[in-house]
Amino acid sequence: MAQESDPAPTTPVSEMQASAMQASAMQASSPLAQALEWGRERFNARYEHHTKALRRPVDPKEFSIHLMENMGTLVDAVAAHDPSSVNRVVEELFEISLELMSAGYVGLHSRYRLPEMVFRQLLPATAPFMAQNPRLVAGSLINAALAMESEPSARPEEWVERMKMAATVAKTPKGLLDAGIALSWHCGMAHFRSGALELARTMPVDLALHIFHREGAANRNELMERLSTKWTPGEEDDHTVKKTRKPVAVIGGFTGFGGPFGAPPTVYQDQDSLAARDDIADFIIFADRFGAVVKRREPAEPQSGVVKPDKETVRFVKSVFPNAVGGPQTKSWAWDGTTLAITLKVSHKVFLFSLRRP
Amino acid sequence: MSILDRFRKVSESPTKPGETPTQNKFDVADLYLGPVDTGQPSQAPAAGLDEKLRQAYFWIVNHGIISPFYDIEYNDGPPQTFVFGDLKANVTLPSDQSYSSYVLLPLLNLAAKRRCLLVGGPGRGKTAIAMIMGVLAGYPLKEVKRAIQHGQPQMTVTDLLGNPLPSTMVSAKSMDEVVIAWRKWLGMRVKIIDEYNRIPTRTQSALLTTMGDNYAELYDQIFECPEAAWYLTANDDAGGGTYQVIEALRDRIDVVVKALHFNTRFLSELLLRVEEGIRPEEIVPPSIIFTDSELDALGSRILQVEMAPELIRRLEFFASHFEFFEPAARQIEYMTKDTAKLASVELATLEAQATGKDKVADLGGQTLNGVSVRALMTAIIFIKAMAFFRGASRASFEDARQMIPFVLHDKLTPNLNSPYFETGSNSALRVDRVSWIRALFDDSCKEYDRLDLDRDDAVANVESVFEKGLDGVTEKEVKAQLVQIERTLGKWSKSRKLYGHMFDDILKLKYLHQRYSNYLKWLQWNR
Repeated sequence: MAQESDPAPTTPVSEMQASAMQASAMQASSPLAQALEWGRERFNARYEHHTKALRRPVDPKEFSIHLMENMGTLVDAVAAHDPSSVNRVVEELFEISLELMSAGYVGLHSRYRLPEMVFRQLLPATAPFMAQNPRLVAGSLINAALAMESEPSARPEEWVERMKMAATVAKTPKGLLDAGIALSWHCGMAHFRSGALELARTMPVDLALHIFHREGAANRNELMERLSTKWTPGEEDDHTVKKTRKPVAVIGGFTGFGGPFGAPPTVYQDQDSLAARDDIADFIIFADRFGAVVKRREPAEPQSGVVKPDKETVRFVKSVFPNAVGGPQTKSWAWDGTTLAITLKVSHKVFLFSLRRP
Repeated sequence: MSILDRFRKVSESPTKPGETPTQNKFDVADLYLGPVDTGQPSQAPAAGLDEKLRQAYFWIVNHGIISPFYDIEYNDGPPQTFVFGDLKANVTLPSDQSYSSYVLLPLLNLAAKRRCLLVGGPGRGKTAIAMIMGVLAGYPLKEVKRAIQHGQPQMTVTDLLGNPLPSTMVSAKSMDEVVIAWRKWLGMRVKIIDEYNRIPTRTQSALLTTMGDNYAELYDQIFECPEAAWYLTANDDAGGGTYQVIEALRDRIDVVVKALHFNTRFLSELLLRVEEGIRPEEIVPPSIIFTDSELDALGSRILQVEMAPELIRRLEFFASHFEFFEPAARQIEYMTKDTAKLASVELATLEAQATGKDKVADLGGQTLNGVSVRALMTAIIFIKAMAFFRGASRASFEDARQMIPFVLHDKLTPNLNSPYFETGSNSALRVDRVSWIRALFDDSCKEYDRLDLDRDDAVANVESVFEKGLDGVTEKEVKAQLVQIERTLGKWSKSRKLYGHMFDDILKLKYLHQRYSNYLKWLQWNR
């Protein structure tokens, strides 16, 4: 091997190669090690540029551990699928890894779990797409995982697992990424509901049925009908049940504890959405059976889109939730026809109940 | 902390407390936005680009360019105002975050990739701020310096654009075969032309093509330039310099910023820099340098800022004052200042005809020209950019009020013979264009409010019905609309003098009348 005649390692890649050789003879001849050897000067120059010109420090040892432990399986998978694309994939992943490590998204001391999980588990499963467009696929999936990790109601681990299955059916990188959006909604990113439904309607039917197989639909029409149902049919639809009714979701919280509200919020209906307001800002509430999310937004035009409940609505909601309207603890309530939101005077939470018109 | 570290310090987030980047729409594509560049044009990092832009701004004003001027004023409550001197100069202490136009406008120009002219006397930091913009765009300082085009009387087209390779000049059998060594600056995303008014006229024409149409042409060869932010500097804005700047080139400039004087109270700051050998462009902190994808994303994020219909209506009303010139024609469509200009007739010659209008109150009388479509488009972009910079997803009235003077600075030519400039303390507005245009906008808004157009806009009422479409509209409904238009015009013809804002309204009503009349004829034929 060329490394044997090289002087003692003084650059990141030579250090990586040395570490790799020490770790295992197999690794030294692995596709990753070969690719690093192939682009040794270029990789070292990129590292130098990143750490010196851009002044974003990256520890070379920590970086080499990341390359060996997080990228090895992926590069093996790409090599098995298309050996000619290995060097290009490694180049892009090297660059992405530098960006991520200097910003603290990966590495021994990173507080993020998902990027490494994506590197080790999801990206190897997407090898055919990585071979086609590594920057787009890896960048998008890592960004998505980070976005989900920062959303309290999202379930990113479930998303990674289901994306691995989606990768076996998707035909193109775009198909895979569309599936990623649709599945992110199914895994708790409730604010993507309308966009995800649109994607489910337009993506190839075999892919749609595969990624949403839990809905048990046999064709697209059936699938769309089931997906568009906001809440699981059941007890919540029985309007005679009053005292035993439990919230389908509880969202929000005090800013001091990482929540969005600085004061107990007031909820209201703004056009078709449920919205909330504290002393400072306005928020939109997104909720369905897959998750519930509250997102800050620009203040609406002064009460422009606010829908005030009519007498019939008040009567109906009061019949199901006697304490919701005018109760001593209730601060506000709003109903959009499928979801009832209630806030209390002493709480920073928003309590959501499934409530459909009878 | 060393002196150098102090100069490199970037303001901590949030630079605008209480304003977090917000969205009204949730786009599924946002799932894939994050710290990793995916190579897609619309890619934007999760961290707010508006925040990064503000951090860049505050670094420049705090450590880069000494510009302690807050002439772009925002208030979120009643500001304190003090009056000084016999001429009653107002000094306002803004109650909300306010900005220095000399730093802010070049930065917005970088974000929106437009063309900015920096004017002011020598040694006021015009070239320095342009260089900082180059560094913020990710170029090494050496490259930025080498790429500056210094205007001088001997500058040729080839000096500006590039040279044909001599070997190919000899061997080429056709122009296509001549290979051009294009100048490197053409491919950069920040372009700096120093003292552009010293460039000979012929070379200015070549510059015009590059600036206006984003390509360079030499020996039938074309070089397509990337979208770029342009910075031009000039010591004299009033047409001085070695060569007269061609009008088309001036027209391509989107925004004009004045380099203000050096505040002598900051001499000690200057002394520190001299003693420590600190040059701001050499110590730009890496954390405020934008990547190519961030610059692309900035442009698209700015365009996503919403403009409320009420604000658009006020802009329409403002712009409508200026083109109208009643004495220029007998047919209403030609009653414009352009008609007089094309005939090479001075407006003053025609103005002698009495129209019965109050020449002080008539805003159109204060200018020699109207507002072009290009200027309006530029105004919209800078208004959006201003709103984006402040972390808002919707442009405010104040954003428009603050940006319009800088965009129309060289676009609206004052009619210095207007009696408006003789009244009160308005004579200063003959030279202070920023204040003059802002006063024009304020007066236009006062007139808009006086006419109560937010609630009672006859044209908007007819237009809103028309915008629902003509499909399925009955003959009776069409006739009702025609009567409505005729009544409005009848009412106006009896009760009002003809002002600029009515000119566009009348033409719009005439247009709608024609559309309805044609449709009515078709309905009657199809009966």
